[in-house]
Amino acid sequence: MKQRTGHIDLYVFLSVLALMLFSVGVVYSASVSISGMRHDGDYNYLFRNHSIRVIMGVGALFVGMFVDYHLYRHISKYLLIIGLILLGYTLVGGTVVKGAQRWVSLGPISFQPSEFAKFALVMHLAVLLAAKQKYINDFRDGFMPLLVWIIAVVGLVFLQPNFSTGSIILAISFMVLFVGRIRIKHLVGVAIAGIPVVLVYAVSATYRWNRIMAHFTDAGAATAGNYQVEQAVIGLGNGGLFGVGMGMSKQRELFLPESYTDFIFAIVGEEYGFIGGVLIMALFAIIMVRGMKIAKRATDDLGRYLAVGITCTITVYAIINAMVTTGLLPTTGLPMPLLSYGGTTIIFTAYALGILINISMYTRIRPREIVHQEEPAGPRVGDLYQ
Amino acid sequence: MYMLITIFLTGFFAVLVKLFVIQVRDAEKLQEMARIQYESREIIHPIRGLILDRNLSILASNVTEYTLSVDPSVIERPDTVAQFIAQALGKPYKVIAQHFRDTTVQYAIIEKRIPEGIANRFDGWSCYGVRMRSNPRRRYNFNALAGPVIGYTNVDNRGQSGIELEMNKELSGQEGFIVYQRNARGSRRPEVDYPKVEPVNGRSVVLTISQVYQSIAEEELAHGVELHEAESGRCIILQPKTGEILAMANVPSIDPNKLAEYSPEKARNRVVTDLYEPGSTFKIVAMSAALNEDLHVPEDRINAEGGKWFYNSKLKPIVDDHPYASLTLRGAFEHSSNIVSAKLANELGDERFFKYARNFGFGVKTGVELPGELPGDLRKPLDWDGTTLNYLAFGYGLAVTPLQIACAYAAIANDGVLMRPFIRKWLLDEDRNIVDENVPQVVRRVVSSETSRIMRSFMQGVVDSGTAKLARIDGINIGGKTGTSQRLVNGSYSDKSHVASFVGFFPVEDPEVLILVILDAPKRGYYGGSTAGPIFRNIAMRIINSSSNFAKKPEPLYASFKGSDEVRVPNVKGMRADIAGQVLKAHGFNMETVGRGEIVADQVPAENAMSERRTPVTVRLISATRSGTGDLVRVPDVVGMSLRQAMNFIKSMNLEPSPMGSGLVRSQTPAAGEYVPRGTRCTLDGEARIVTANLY
Repeated sequence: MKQRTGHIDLYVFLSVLALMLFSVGVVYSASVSISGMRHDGDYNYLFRNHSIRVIMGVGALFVGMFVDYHLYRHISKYLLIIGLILLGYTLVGGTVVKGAQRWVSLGPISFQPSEFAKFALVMHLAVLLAAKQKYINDFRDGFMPLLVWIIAVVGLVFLQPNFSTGSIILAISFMVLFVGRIRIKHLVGVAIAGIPVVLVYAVSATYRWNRIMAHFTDAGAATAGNYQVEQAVIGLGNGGLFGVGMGMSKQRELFLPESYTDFIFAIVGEEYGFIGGVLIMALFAIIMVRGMKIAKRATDDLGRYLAVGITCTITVYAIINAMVTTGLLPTTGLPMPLLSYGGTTIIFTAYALGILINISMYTRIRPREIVHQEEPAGPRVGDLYQ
Repeated sequence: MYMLITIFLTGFFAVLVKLFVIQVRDAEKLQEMARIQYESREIIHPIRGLILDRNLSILASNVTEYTLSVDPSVIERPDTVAQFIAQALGKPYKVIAQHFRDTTVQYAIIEKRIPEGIANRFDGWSCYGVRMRSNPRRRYNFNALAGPVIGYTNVDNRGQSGIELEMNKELSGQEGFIVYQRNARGSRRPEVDYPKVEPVNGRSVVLTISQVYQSIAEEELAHGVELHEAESGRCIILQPKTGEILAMANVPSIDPNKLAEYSPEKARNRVVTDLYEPGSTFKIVAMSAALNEDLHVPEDRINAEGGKWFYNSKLKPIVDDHPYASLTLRGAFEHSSNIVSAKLANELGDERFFKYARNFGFGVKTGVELPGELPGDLRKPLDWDGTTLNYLAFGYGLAVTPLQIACAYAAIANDGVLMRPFIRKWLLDEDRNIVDENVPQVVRRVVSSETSRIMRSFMQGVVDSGTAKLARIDGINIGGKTGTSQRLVNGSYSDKSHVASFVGFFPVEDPEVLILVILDAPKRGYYGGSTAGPIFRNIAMRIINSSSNFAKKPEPLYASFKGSDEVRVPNVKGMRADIAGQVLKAHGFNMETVGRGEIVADQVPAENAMSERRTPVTVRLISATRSGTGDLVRVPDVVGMSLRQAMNFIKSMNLEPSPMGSGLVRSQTPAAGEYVPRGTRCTLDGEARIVTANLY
């Protein structure tokens, strides 16, 4: 059954490259003023940094593409353990940024272990699900081991404290479990048991509560909690239908301090308008739809669950970031995958997408040519999005 | 898996909907918010329009002054900067350096009102934290001339009184702006993508006022006020045919360049803002109404009651200063009989008298474009008691503005038609195109042409043989009427405090100029005829002399000069005194000077008048600074002069003569009377033009 066609999924590949290329341009525009201010007149400091990461990201994409994903069956556990150790280390020796310990330095590069742990968890969940398919309905042997890993990662992320990332990792994990045929009864049961814990956690820190409340009260009031969102919306609106033009953003002039990271989408919308925003969303939608198709056609369960996990991670991040930027959700501090200035994140993300493309090379059937002859009757994935 | 795809697609869709709302539906509103955030506008002030007299002499112009300020908190080497500034301003270093001491402040004004010349020393020098800001300021070129009429502006260059206030909107223009881009920290840089919006400079206002007449009126009025020790004086000069106000003088007055030195009430243009009881000048109403209603003919005799008329045995009689047994209408007007006037008013009755008073314009605003005009106080017949009409007949029991009296007499001078008085002739745009013009407006016919003709002859009688003999000028027929009224002091009429007035016009045959002179509370003499009359005469005299209009037609004054050896007097007005002497000498006249100064303001006999050789020509000198109109020079009339003379004359005016041909000057460009910058080339065309010799 396992067969390698050698054809990569061009839609995903090109979308990823397009986003990374776009990222270089937008981050340049968005970071130039802030870079000049924070780095003593060096307007290109952040841009240079980012460019290096993007180049490394492209490298990671290619490495991911050509490493057989079956390899991860053997190393996923160790990767996740490394991730947990790093998360633990963050709590003790991490750098405090805006009241939370999220960064850790490893030699010359500093990165957010949560980003690494996120992918490691998704990978290990996929490996475990694939291995346990025969007794997946069993709560203790099928579900519990997975839940332990999830709680370990999410718990450590919560402790940083990083509420939003923790919650999203939790959500993505549940999506993978759901696709991995864990019984709905088990999932819902655990979710119900977990809600009070999460709520107590959410309310325990005032800044978090304020941020959430600010979102649901007067959106026009410039409180500290929603100032960024308000500026982001102004930026988007300023762009209008066609945008103010490449490099012409006004909001980057210190009005939107995180313009090059979490609010990069606002700068895209300002410079390239509604058209630009739609284009970015379309690229992510292509990755999502193709990712799901890759999962559907994967030759084995590991490929399927891995593809779903990676696709969900990218898509959830993209949607949540866009929703925050447009004011649909309270501020979370999540970057836009591939697009934001994100240091190491872009490398992990690119590598994960490389894995997705690698999975696309192992399909039961070749796309396009023999779809109609060999697909069984009934609903077909292809009908949905072709 | 399909469920996840559906959820995700819904998520994407939600984002797109929200993006659409933000970027398409609400875009305009948000773009405005963005603009407010990152744009900072700097206002560019428009240049305030000029105020000019009817001959385009600039009465009010603008100068730029500068304010130098520093931000001591950012200046890096304050001692060097202070050193430079001290040197440029010519001030001690210590004085300048103290402004730099407090580095916690961000704004310290070093010097205000720096003139352009000194500000120029900073050209090409710039220092972060030092700012030179320009402020436009008004300059009144003739200082106190027409001060209350022109008015003044406040520190923001906004009109506060007079024409400056009334025409503020037109004079101000529209502000322009430069857009700066600002970041969230407030630092700015010019935004190259936005066009600078240029300000629309203000319109210039051309008044009907004649600077020459105005200065004549002010000088003579001031002289008269001083002579008769009056509290104050007011004077209007009107053109009866059009309603144009040629001059409006107040004594005391203000110099709007030095406002601080004057008390604010002197800034009032009391010709329109202050009321008085007109006294005898109001007899025009009863008399012209009686004639117009055909109640009497001019030669009808009326019983003048021997100077005391007890119209009601219980009340005080009406008294004439000069008693007569009976008077003709003409005689009654010439000798200003109160009794006859009252009798005529009684014959007319309340309603008719009131109608005529109203028709002459009393009790309503004239509508002149000046701030603070009062309508006066003329009660309606319903509110009258038994004595009201008798007293109204000779000008008591009502209040009028001087402008109303002037306009009523102007109606008689203008064949019975009342004109709306106006002071603004044109609005000019920057290129001196006329954008708005006030044309003479007829208010109504008050009396018939015949009545007005008779009234004019009565008025001529007043001057020739009546109460105003002191207003007579030989050779020109003047019509007028005196007025002497007791002033209300503490609620009763005082026989110590009077308002003396004279209103007159000339020539009676075709009145061109009407002058009203009012003296408030003169202490030496109180009759209008003996106080205001001579002031009128002095003003009229100078007007006649200064204008060729009057000299040409009747040539009245100089008839006696007519002889075998008479020549035309050259125009030396505006010349430098020494040049004027040479020019007059060349024509065979001797020059006599009055006054001090370098420039000839006036001459007697006037230009073009015929005068005998070797007689003196008197010129009045004024100082050059007073007559200056900034950088503009009025091109003199040199047509008819010899080329050499014309060249000297042109040179004396700081212009560059450019002669062509030879002989007498036949034409000149630019035309005489135009205002041109100093040093402008003036081409003079000689009669005999030799084209080959034309090197220009």
